[in-house]
Amino acid sequence: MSLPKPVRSSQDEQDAPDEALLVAVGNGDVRAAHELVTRLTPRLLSHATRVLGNRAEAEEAVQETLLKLWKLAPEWRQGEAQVSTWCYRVIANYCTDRLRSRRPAVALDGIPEPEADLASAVEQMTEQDRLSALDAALATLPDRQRQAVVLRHIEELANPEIASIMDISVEAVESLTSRGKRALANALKGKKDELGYVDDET
Amino acid sequence: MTKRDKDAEALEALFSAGRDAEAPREEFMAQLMADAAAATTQNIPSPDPHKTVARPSFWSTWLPISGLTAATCAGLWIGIALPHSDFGTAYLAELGATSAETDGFAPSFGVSMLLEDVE
Repeated sequence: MSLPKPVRSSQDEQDAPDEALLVAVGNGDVRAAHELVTRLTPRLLSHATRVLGNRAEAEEAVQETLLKLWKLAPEWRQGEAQVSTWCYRVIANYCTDRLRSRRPAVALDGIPEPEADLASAVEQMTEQDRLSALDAALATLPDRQRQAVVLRHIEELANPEIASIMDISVEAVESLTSRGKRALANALKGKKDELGYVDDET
Repeated sequence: MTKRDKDAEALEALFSAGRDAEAPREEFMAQLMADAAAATTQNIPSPDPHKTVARPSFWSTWLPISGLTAATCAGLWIGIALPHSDFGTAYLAELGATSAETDGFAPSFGVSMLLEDVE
């Protein structure tokens, strides 16, 4: 299937805020839509990939989210929410539904076994191994913890924005990310404990 | 550095790997662009070819104009004809009004009588 070449965005579109672009999309501006695709896709795809642990499913999630955004564009109410926040909320809900519909696929066996401690083990990993270890460890977290950790530590969003995306309080976000990080470290150490490693922080 | 700090550092290295994850595939981006173009062009407001502009009827156009013309002509006729007419005074005289009383209603009539007296 041959796909049309994207319309190149002009400098004006590259400088415009997301919301102005979305209003232009509502008025039929294809260039504005392409600029939004360019801006939003990498972040949304990264989020969905880390949460779902599956690239193909993550692409589907991004596609669905953007289709919803285009549909909403003509009725977008300015000043009510940030476009990126709205997109994160939609894709987070999509991912939650996906995760609920399947059994958790924990693949800790795929993580290279730490030899002495977590830090030195991670240090010895290649970039690809680190990514695999991260995905496998994230998969062991409860859905909400996983989303909060990804939004905070990978997407690097501020806690109030995460609270808005997940529809919870800032305190709840702090609690989820804190517990999530601890659980993540423990998941990574799981194999190490089997090898007789004793964590001296307790 | 404590064990907790070391763990945090290790986790940060993993998070960093997550942030530097590979870019979206070109084919996927092209598909999203095509979706965006298709959805966005549906938002372009297009004129409805079935919608016709209502043309004003003959009477709705000419009736106000003819009314205005008639009123203008009537005003012009009253302005020109009545100051020299004795229509009003004759009518008042018929009702028994005196010349002085009728002067109040038809000043030009009184003026003409004065001019007759001077002559």
